Amino acid sequence: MLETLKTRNWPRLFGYILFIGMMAAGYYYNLTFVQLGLEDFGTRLLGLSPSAVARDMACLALLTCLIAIAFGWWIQKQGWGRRFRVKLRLSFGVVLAQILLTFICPFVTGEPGFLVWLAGVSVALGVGVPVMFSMTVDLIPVRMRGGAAALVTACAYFAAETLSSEWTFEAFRRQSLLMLAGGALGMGILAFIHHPWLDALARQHEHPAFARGRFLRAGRRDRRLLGLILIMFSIYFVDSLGFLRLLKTPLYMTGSWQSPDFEVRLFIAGAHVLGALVAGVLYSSLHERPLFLWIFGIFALTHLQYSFHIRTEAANTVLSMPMLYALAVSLYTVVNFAIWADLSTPDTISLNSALGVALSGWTATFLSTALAIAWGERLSLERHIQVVDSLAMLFFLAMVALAYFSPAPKPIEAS
Amino acid sequence: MKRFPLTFLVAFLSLFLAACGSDGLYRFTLVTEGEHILTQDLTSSLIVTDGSVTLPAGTMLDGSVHILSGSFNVDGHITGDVFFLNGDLTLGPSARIGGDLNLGSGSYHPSPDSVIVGQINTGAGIPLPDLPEKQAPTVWILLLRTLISGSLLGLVATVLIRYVPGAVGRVGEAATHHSLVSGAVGLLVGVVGISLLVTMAYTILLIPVTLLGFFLLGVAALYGWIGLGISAGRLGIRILKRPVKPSAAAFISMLVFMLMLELVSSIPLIGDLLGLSVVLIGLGAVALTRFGLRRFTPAANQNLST
Repeated sequence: MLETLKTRNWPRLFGYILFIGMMAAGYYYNLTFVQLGLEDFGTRLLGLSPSAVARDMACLALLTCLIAIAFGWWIQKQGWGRRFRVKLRLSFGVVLAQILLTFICPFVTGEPGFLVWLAGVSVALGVGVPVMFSMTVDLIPVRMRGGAAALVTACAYFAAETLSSEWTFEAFRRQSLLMLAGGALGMGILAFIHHPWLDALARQHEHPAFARGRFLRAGRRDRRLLGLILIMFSIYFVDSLGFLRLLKTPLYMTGSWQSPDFEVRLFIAGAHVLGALVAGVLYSSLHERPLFLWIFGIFALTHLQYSFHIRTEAANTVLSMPMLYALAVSLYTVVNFAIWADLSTPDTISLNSALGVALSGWTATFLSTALAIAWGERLSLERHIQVVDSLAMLFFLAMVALAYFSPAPKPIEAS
Repeated sequence: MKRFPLTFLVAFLSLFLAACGSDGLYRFTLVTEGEHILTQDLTSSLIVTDGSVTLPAGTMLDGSVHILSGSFNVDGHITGDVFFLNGDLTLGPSARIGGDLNLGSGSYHPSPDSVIVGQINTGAGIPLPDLPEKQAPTVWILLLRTLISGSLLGLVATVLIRYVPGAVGRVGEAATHHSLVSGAVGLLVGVVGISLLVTMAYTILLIPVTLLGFFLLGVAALYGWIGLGISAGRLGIRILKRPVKPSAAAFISMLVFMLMLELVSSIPLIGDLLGLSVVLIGLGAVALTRFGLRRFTPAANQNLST
């Protein structure tokens, strides 16, 4: 970024700001309104049972997954991966749809209405994922992707942790509407005006510094993509399965993420920011395997600490546990924002990112939600966390074995 | 060299023996929360930080009691002193304290029939051991301390540069050329490593491994400092354009490095942060190069070489 400032490459700098702002706002919306707000909407405002809401949310995850893959494939087929302006207009459409869906919430009544409304949210998310992720090849050069992903993660988590003092649907709806309105105005202008800066950004994907992801190797794309989807799925699954249960345990929420004490939330936000910045630096400098080892290792350690804490029946929570959790979450979020683009070219990014995000993120959410509902009635909190810990440890050991038995990746071949 | 792994193994395994040698050591029972009734005699000191402890009539506690918070109900016999700093202390009719009762703050409810053999000291009257007052070290003492630690590290650096110059060089190279990556890795190693070691200590059984882990973490941090110091020294020598023997250069470099570090750490507000950054960069460089066994090359440079 400093290099861009030195060379006064203002269009490129504008591209960085646009991408970071757009992705951070999108992720903030997903973190707060979708992941936390919808459950409150269903249970408290619509009076549905927690299991019914969880089932509906799982349907949302599955539908989003299908729509994202279908739309990613459609973009690839149409060749829109190379058409920056089309992607801007589609993003504008997504933001408008999200405003409409967020605005009409109070008119939704009963479970059928909730399901129809969730289907609308799924369509907006499913279209948004491949469109927004595919803008990475237009706006962020390969060398900068770790840093950009770190800033996106840091901004989204910092805002989510410090701005949201109460995790209620009304609060999330208010914040989301304000943010989306600002976003729609900006995106609307960018989608329809003609400016030399936008023309310059639209051509950037042709530049080798943007076009070819760093993990691309001739003839190995499918295997590598599949491997990374599996690994990211495991990470999402471990995170989601553990956090869904912790979310239902007031001791661990009121003492950390939902603490009335602002300093506690600021501390966790700081851990998220620090974790994101560390991940940004490491993503650019290390191979992907050590990063995954760190992520699984930290998840295993965090859940081990939680299970120790549950066993002692302590009345107060210890901040080191959410701190480590925040660190692990930030690490993998950064990887998720950068890695799909680094496996792609402008032609393949829409489908790759859709496959990556949908199959790993949304499918893991779908399965872990279903499992958490089932376990919530059968397993004690301690046992639940122990199972998650065992899974994290298993994946960690699998990564160690993989690193030991398979050769280190070679540098890319010249194209 | 073949003897090294065996010696190391013996040293490592002998650490586990430490867990067996509890007899003859100072023993205590720590209560941090919950309700506890001591139904049997206890031969150890008792520390109560929170929760509730009851010593019923007919039971004996052979040791002293320290109550930092929480409540302690006594109806039995305590052979040692009782230090009551805060919380709630109740002495029942059959309570007997063999030593002194030292009262700080909190609420104290003695029965008229309870017996205290020693003295009752209240408030500031609690006798404290004669500890020397801690004063801020003067500049000269600080300088002397830094010179001593710098000299010691300098001696270690001299040995390292004599026997493993390549390894130290690689650590220094990673710390100076890739300080951001080293700092990031150092932060992860530091935060996660300390959390892991503390968690292991909770199992009691793994306390020797925890101690070994902290020792290794400390050695890694010092090794990182040495690598960083030697690299900084090489840069200085290159600027001065004077030929100096490698061992002498290593010694002088460490001395100057420690003085510079002390100077930087004394800067108000940011000094500690800068000092911590140097520690993390050194630690990260050691982790990245696996104690200097391999050269660190950023993955981006490898992948984007074409």
